[in-house]
Amino acid sequence: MTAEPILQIKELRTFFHTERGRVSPVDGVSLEVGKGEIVGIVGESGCGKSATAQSVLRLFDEKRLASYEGEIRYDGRDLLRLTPKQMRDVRGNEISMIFQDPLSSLNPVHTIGDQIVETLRLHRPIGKKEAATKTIELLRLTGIPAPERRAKEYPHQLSGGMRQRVMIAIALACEPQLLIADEPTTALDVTIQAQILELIQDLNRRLGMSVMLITHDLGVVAETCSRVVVMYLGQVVESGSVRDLFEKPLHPYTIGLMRSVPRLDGDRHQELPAVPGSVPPLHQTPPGCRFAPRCPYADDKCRSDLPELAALPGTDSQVRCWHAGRIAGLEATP
Amino acid sequence: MNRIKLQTKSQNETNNQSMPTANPREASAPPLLRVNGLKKHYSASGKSGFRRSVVKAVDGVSFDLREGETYGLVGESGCGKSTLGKTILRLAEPTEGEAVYRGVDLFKQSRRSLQAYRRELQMVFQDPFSSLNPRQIVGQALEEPLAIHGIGSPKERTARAMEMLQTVGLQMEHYYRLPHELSGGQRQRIGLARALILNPRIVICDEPVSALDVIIQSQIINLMRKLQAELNLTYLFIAHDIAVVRHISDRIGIMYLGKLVEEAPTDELFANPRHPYTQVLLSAVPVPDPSAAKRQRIVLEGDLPSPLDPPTGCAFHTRCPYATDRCRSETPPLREVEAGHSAACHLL
Repeated sequence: MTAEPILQIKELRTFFHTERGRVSPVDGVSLEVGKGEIVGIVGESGCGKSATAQSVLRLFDEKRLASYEGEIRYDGRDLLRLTPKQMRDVRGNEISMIFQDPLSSLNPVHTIGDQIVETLRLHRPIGKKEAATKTIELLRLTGIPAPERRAKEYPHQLSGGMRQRVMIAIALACEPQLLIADEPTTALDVTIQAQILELIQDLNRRLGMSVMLITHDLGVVAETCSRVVVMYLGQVVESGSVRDLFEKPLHPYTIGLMRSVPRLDGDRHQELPAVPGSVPPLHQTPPGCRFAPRCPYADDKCRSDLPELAALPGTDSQVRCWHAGRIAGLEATP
Repeated sequence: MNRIKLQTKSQNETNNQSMPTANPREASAPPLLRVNGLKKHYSASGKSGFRRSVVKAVDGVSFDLREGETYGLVGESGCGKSTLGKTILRLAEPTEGEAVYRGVDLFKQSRRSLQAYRRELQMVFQDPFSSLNPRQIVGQALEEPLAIHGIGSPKERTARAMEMLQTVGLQMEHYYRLPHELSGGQRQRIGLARALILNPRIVICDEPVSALDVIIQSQIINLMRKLQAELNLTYLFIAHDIAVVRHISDRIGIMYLGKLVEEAPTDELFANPRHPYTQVLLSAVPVPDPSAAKRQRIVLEGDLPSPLDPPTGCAFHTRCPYATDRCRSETPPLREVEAGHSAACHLL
C-alpha cells in the first residue's frame, strides 16, 4: 500500500465489560501506519477512534474492565502478546501519545521542567544534569520561547497552546518512532491550532516520526495527513489516500460527514445536507451494516448482512459498503 | 392555550406599531437592539498578587442588531464575546454603556421591570447538559419559564411544552425524559425549545453548536435557520468557528481582546477581510479539500495576550505582521472603510 508499515493492526477487537454486558467499542479494526507517514483517523464521538488509539498502547485496565483480541504488530512484535513490563518499555520509548486536554495530563504541583526530566530518567540511564540540558533542548524543539525560564514554571502559568507544546516535548523525550495524537488541537483556538499542526508536520518531516492523528475535523485531516481512515461505530468504513477520499468519498457515511461540514466558500444560503439521526449507543448496535438506519442507500440486504471492508478495483481505497461499486460509478444503477 | 396565543398576537401588534413595515433587514430601519459603548470590567488581583487591577473583558463595544437578522460574533477564547452576550441580558451587570431595546435602555431598568423584557430576549448556552437540571424531566424544564412569567394554567403550559417539542423536532415522549437520557443534539434542541417557549424576539446564542459533532451540528444549524424564518427571530450568534458563523449570519463582527476590530456583511467580510486579525483568522481555518493549492496560511507568533495586562495601542500589535510604531502607542478607532464595513486599524 505505502511505505513499509511501522504499525499494523489486524482485526483488533477491544471489549469493555460493563453493567449492561460486554460491548466492543473497537470491533474488528484493521489499519496500517507507514514509516514516516501521517495517518488520520476520523469519525464522530463514539465511533471508536480514541478507543483504537488507546488499545494500541493498551491503556485500558485489563484486570477488570477490558480485554483485547486480534493483533497489533509493531516492529515485528505483537503488542497484545507482551507482558505488562514489556509494554511499559514500549510506551513512551517507542510509541508516545498526546491527548486532547494538556492541563489534565500534566501534574499541577510539579514544574514542567521536572516533569520532562522525570520522563527522560524513567526511560534512559542519564544523570540529572544531562536530563536538564535535554529538557531545554526539547522545549526549544517544540518552539517554546525562553525555554530556560519556562522549564521552571507550573502548568497553570502556561497558555493552552504552550501546554500542548509541553505535552509534545514530553512525548518526544525518548525519540519515539510513532506518535499517537488524540485530538491534539480540539481544545485550542484556530490560530493556536495552526501553530501546533505546523509543529507536528515539521517534526514528522525532520525526525521521520510516524503520526497517527485522531481528529473529528476533516479540515485538519485534509491539511496534515497523507492517508485517512474513517470509522463508524467501532469499525473502519473507509480508508484511502487523503486525495482520493476527499475527491471521491465512497462510503455513504464519509459522504455525509463531508457534506455536513460548513465551508468557507460556496453557497452559504443552502441548507447544510445533514445525515439524519445520531450514532446509536454501543449496546444498541444495529444488525447488518451499522450505518444502514441512517443511510439513504440502505436496502434489505444492508439491514441484514454486514459488508466486509474490501478493496475497490482500480483504486487504493477500501470500503465497507454493499453499494460502493454503484456509488463509485463502476456499476450501473439498477 | 388561548391566552398565550392572545398575548403573542398583541405583542406582534405592538411590534408593528413601533417597527416600520419596510424590509426589516434594510439598514435604514431602526435596529431592534442597539448596543452602545458597552464595557464590562472585572476587578482582579494584579500580577504581583497585591495591586488591584482591572480586567477589561468587554471594552467599549457598539453594534446594532436589526430585526430578523443574524449577527455573528466571532473571536478566540478570552476575547470577551460570551461576556458581551451575558451582559446584554444583565446576567452580568455592565460597567458602562447602554443596550437600547425598542427605545428602552435595558441597563437602566430595575430588576423587576427587566423581567418583562427578559421574555423577549432569551439565551441558548453552549453546554445544554450543564444548563439543564439533571433531576428535572424535560417537560418541567420547558414549563418553568412559563411558570416564572405567570403564563397560562398548568394544563396550558403542558400543552405548550408538547407543542414546542414538536417545533424543535422531538417527540411527545421526550417530555418525560431526564437530561442524561438524551443525546447532545437532543439536549441542545431542548435548550432551544426552552428559550423559544416564551416567544422571544431576540435569542442570544452562546456557542450553541460547538460542543456537537459535525453532523449533529449541521442538523441544529438547519433547525435554527428554519425556526428563525418561521418565528421571525433575531439571533445574536456567538461562536469561535467562523465557518459555522458564515452559514448562519447576515453580518459578522470580529472581536479581539474585548474590542470589535471589524464588522461587515458576511459575504463582504469573506471576500474582502480588511483587518489583519480577520485575515489571520480566515487563513487559519483548515479547509477540508486537499486538492486546493496549499494556501498561504498565516501562522501567528505567540498567544493571545493576557487581558490583565493588555498591550498598549492596538491590542493586536504584539502579533500583527504589519505593526508600526503608531500601532504600539495609539488605539485605532473602529471606523467605516466602505459602506457597512468597518475596521479598527491604522493601516487602512
